[in-house]
Amino acid sequence: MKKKLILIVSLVLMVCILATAFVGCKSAEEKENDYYAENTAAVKENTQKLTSLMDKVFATNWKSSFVYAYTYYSKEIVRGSTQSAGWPEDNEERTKFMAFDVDYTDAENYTIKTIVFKEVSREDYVKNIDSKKYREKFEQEKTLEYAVSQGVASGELYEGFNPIAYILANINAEYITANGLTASDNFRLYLNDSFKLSNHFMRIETRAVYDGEGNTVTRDDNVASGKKYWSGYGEDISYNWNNVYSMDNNRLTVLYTKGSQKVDSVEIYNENILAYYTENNKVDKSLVLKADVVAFEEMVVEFDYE
Amino acid sequence: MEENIQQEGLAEEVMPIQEETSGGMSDEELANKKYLKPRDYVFFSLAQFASSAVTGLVQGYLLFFYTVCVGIPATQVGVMFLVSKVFDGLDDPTMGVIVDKTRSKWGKMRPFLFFGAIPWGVLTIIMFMPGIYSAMGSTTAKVAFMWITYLLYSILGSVVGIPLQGLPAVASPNTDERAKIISISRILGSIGEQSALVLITLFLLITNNDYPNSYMLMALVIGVLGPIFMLLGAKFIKERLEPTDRTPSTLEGFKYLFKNKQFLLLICSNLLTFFRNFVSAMIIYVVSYIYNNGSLQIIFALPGAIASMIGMMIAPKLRKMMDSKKLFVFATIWHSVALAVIFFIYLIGGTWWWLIAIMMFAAMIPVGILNVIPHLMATDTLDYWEDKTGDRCEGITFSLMSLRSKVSSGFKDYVMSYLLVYFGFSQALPFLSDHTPVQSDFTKFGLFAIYTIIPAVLNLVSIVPILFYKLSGKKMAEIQGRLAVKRLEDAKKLEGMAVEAETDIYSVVAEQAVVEDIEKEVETAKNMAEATVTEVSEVEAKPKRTSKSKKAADEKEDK
Repeated sequence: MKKKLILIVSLVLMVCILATAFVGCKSAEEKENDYYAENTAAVKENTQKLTSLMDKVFATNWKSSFVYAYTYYSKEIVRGSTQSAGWPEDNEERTKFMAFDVDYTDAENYTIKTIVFKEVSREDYVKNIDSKKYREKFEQEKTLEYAVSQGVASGELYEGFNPIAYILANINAEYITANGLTASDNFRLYLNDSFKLSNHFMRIETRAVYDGEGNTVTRDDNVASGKKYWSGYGEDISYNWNNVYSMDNNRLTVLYTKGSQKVDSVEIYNENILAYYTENNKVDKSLVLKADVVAFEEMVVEFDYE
Repeated sequence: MEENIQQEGLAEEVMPIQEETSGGMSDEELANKKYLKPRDYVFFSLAQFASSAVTGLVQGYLLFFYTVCVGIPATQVGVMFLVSKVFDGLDDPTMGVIVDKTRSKWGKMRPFLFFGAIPWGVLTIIMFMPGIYSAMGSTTAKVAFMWITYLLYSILGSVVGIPLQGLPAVASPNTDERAKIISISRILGSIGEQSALVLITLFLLITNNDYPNSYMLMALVIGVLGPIFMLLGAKFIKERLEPTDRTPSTLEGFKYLFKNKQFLLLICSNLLTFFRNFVSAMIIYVVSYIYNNGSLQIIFALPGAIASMIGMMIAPKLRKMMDSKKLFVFATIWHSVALAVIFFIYLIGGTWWWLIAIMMFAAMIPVGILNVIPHLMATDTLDYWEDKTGDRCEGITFSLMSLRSKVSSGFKDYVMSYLLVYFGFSQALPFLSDHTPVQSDFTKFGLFAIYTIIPAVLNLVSIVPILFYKLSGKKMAEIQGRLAVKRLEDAKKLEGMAVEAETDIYSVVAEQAVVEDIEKEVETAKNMAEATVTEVSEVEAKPKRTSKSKKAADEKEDK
């Protein structure tokens, strides 16, 4: 009798679970649409918040020392083909490195006093970027007195790089909304060396995918062309690399103090990813497409308000 | 029949102790009596070494083998590992109940080692045979083969693993000896876990980085030697504690956790120790993303492993200075304080990797202690339960301990991944072969916090259930004293029964002999009487006798 009862209860429970699961199941397409709808809303909301924060930053006097690094391979990385592997044997990684002092003296005017540029090994770079006092660590090879007004560069920087313009470009709301994939804004408890509490952490990530001709592949384009670039969605979007040549991942992280609405730091990372032919696995030696990072940039700016 | 054999085995082990105790040993002396011989330590540790070597091989290298050498998609392997964890949740306690219901001439644990070791080793080898996979061709067939072999391996892992963990609890009733054998075997186990690393390095060197064949060779060595060590362990270690006469029902086995409150407290506390596992799990993140040098992993991991072994080594000595409960609390606080100190040194600028690696050494010693003590406490809860109810459930106890370890590992993965998201960790893109995205300063801070201060603070939570744990030094001494007396009385009863039975046999034999003697005498007397009567009748039948014959007849009559 007991056994029968247990059996019946188990069966009923199982049916209930299956029914709930069935009702809860959405089609992959629905889930994908929901994901992008929610994500777009989050990106819009966060970019608005970010833009208003940055407006406040550039309306206040501040000083900062920060670094910018561009890491790449000494030889060009090629895609290869089904007959020849793409990744070369000699793939020594190199880093170009720049350090900046920015003295933002007035609203809508800023002055870059010093520019130091030096190529260093990745090991040295890592050592330096881990230290908060970047400037003291470098030998000065070239120093420029540099001034710009109204946010437009009036002098020539290395490879035309203007850090402030770069920051502004990366927080452009339209750009992020157009390319944005993920956004987060969570309350964080952040203990650092000065024991600040209750900072906010905001992150916006963008991803740009290019086809063989160098054109940007967007989700809409993909739908229109009927090409299967996307075989998944969410964090683990996978690609058919036969159709994708390269991809850029951009990430902007902002730490700010909630009460004072002051930005404490901005960090920007960009990765350039390339698809190339390589061995499938150790058992099956056939060449297949895989992807890897061929270059990346990173920049950390900490703001010190007067 | 089996019970008789078992009783004979018990008598063989218990009788010598009984002879000595009858020479005036106190309960305390009785509790401190040594039972284990050097061979017990050697062969049990070898079995533990084998078990850890196979576990280290499968946990450390199977994922890489499946994805890189065989080419099975990582997501498929991930799903299978997840399902197997759920599956373990069922097969571990089931195995525990089976062990507790087992009664055999080899005991309740050893039969599983005898019969499980070889299939377990064979399966380990099969899982790492690249030839089988390449012969299959299609990915579906490879995935199906992976599911079947891995789930079978999980079952056999429980069949062999649960009894092996339970062996120290039945090898000796002496707590110090249990602490020593658990400590030594765990040290050997830690070394065994690294044997795959040594072998793969060696074989990759020999085969010029031929990964599939190096993995196969590594699995062959471990899969052959493992069962041999396991069988030696099973053959030479003795189960000295008598299993209770009553075998618990399956339902009772599952209910045991909730009935034995002390064991429940121990399990709860141990479940909360999973934060401790963040430290070793975070090493790869710290070296890759904070120090940007993955090869530092060995520099960070090795001192920790050595320190942990030292901790295991000193655990029995510390155990003599304080009881298990105090030692658990002491080691947990030690670990937390050391981690907190490392965190604050890092915050004030002491970020050099060598400094952190050295300081981690001090922080990992208590982890070794905490690897030994809960197992010892589990054996204490068994004694407590035996004292209270007369039942011993080693199988279910150690299966739940094993399950606890797996659940803890699941909690660790879950909480750690949550914390990584919380600190804005940028996940490596799964479709890239070797992707190490740069992390923000805030994330690096978070990674170091998960490595140090977060486990330091959260570890302390595991002390809370232990505060309600009653099996402290004095209480345990009382329990073990009572159990020693009980075991002595049981042994005496056994001896008494044997003597009584012998006496009964002698008396019966003696009685029979007396009866036989009497019967013989009666027979003889009867015969003689008959003979006399016959002679008298013959004399009466011959009235005329010669004087000579008359004289002889008279003499006979006198006689």
